[in-house]
Amino acid sequence: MNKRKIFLLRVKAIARKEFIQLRRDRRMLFIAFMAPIIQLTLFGYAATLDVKSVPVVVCDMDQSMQSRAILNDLTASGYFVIQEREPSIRDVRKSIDENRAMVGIVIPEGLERDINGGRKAHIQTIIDGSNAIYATMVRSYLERIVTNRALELSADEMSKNGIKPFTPLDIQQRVWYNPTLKSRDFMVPGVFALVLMIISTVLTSMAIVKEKERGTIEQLIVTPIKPIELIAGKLLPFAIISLIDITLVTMVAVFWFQIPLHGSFILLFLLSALFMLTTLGLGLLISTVSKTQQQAMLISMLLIMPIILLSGVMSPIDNMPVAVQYFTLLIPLRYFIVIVRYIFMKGSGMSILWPDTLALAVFGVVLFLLSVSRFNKRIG
Amino acid sequence: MFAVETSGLKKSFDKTEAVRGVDLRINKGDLFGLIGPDGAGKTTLMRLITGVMTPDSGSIRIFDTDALRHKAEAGMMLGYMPQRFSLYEELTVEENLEFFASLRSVEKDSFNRQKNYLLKFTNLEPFTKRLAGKLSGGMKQKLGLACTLIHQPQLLILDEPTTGVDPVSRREFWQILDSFLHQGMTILLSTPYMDEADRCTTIAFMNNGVLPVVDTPQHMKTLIQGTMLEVVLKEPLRAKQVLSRSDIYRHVHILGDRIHIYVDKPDSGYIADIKQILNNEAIAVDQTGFTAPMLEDVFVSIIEKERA
Repeated sequence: MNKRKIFLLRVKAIARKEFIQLRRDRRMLFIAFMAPIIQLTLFGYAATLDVKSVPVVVCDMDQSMQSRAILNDLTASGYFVIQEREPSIRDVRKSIDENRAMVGIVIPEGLERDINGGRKAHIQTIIDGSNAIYATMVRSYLERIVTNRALELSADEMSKNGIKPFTPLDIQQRVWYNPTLKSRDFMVPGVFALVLMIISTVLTSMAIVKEKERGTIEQLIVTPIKPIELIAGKLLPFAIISLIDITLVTMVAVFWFQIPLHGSFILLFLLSALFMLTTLGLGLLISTVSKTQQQAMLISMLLIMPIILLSGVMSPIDNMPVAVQYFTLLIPLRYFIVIVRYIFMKGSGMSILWPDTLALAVFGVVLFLLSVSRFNKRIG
Repeated sequence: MFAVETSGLKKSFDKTEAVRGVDLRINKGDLFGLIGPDGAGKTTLMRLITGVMTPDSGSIRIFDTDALRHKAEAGMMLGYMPQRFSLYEELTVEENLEFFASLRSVEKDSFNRQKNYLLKFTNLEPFTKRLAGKLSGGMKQKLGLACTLIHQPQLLILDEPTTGVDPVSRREFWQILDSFLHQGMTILLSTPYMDEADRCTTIAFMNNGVLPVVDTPQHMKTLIQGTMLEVVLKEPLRAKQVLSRSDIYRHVHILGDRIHIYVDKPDSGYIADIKQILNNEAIAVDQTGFTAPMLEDVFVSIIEKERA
């Protein structure tokens, strides 16, 4: 037998053994195929920044047509739901303290009288700011609704006085790629990248450390198998599983969440496969430094958390301190997030994505070679 | 030509020297036993010979092949069963055999022949399709042996193969080993059991990373000149403490429900004397007599001599 044939036979033997083990291990099977689908579904629903049905507590001391019109505008927008009506400001405060409402609206007595009398009327809004991101969005919606009402009132007033109402300045907004600004269309592709990274890293790190933990690695070392053959045979099944996962997760995103895939699926698939090179390499590296599956799991989690936070999937990298921004250049996920979002939302092709693809390729090769060389030393 | 020949073999980990210059020669067809206290370096020595570990210095020849230079060739000639031999529990008996055969590039015909032979030999034939994880301890051990033999090695290296195996399976395991010996195989094994050591053609006693004594079991027992005085009693530990205080009976070994005391000749005066000493301490004596030294006596006295 020539060397190439022996190499392929041994790789096949390892890969075949891995597949049999996987097929008979329900826990691993679950992690490999069900976990990505469940994770994407859960995160897809949970990771939404859309403001909808915010509970409101109202203290309407005016009880007039004008006050009712304002409250009507709020509920008609769909963003707010009047949860409670309270007679005093103190009760409004209590309601927010006890988390029954997120927004309090106080309409003072004499609102209608002031408006009709041509005087400036005031309403007070109280926003629970404990979730700053959410509160900011709620505030802007509130402002928009109240401003619109004010503009309408002044237009009424002008036409009553025989002046043709006009708006001196207006914005013509065009939002591209995600016209309705649905945060899910933006979040799901990000989660897609996260799920692929977590699954492939964790699976790979477990697979090799398992041989160490059970002591089977010693038998493997006595056989004439070379480290590169062992690694190739070990990673092959997980690479295949990852590719199946890419397809599964894309299907959930497109068919379940109705996220429009503007770009090419083939390109998404190929670049995801390239990204897998970095995650398989990372998993392998974790495997070489840990002695038990528990250790591997713990190290994976400790690494994955900062990777996610620094990847730009949750908050824009541009908002981070400059030093941290440079640091994020070392995180492969960062490039992949851009690739996934652009392919999904903008339908970008290689002419746009090549810098990120190049970065990913460099990281993939370096990380992979590094882990293989470390593995060589450990086994010998 | 020797089956195994090492010279000046050394290996250390961080600060501890596990193997400190071992010169070993194992004849073809020998059943070579390696014994010694825990931490003596037995496992490390076996790992060096099998190529699992690389020595810091020294040389290893397996059937005249330089095992350090031609690792793969040497590896094909030997089968190694580590102390914690673990199979792939999610694989069946047959799949385990197939896996180890394919890693060693065993041809299909030869694999089938060897597989059938080994399965019959180890009485595992009815369990071919059973998952290895569902086998009993003794059966797992036999499957481990079968996996190590699938490529028909001429040298078999076993690290405490019968530790934790029930007595019936242990006897069966030894029957299998015996028949391989008859076929001319060379076996190197370590064992904590003295009755197993007694079956070996040659024994090496390992202590502190060296082999101070390598000999046949029969000859080894003559290393102790004199005889052993055996006392059966209820409190062997206290008896040893009491006797050790005297100048004459310094070498006292506990062997379960009895103690062995080294004396220069079978003189009944010793018995009377010891009975007297134990009586003074109110230690009841059930039975006394003289006996030939056992292997264990030899090893205990070697260790004590080295410590002194």
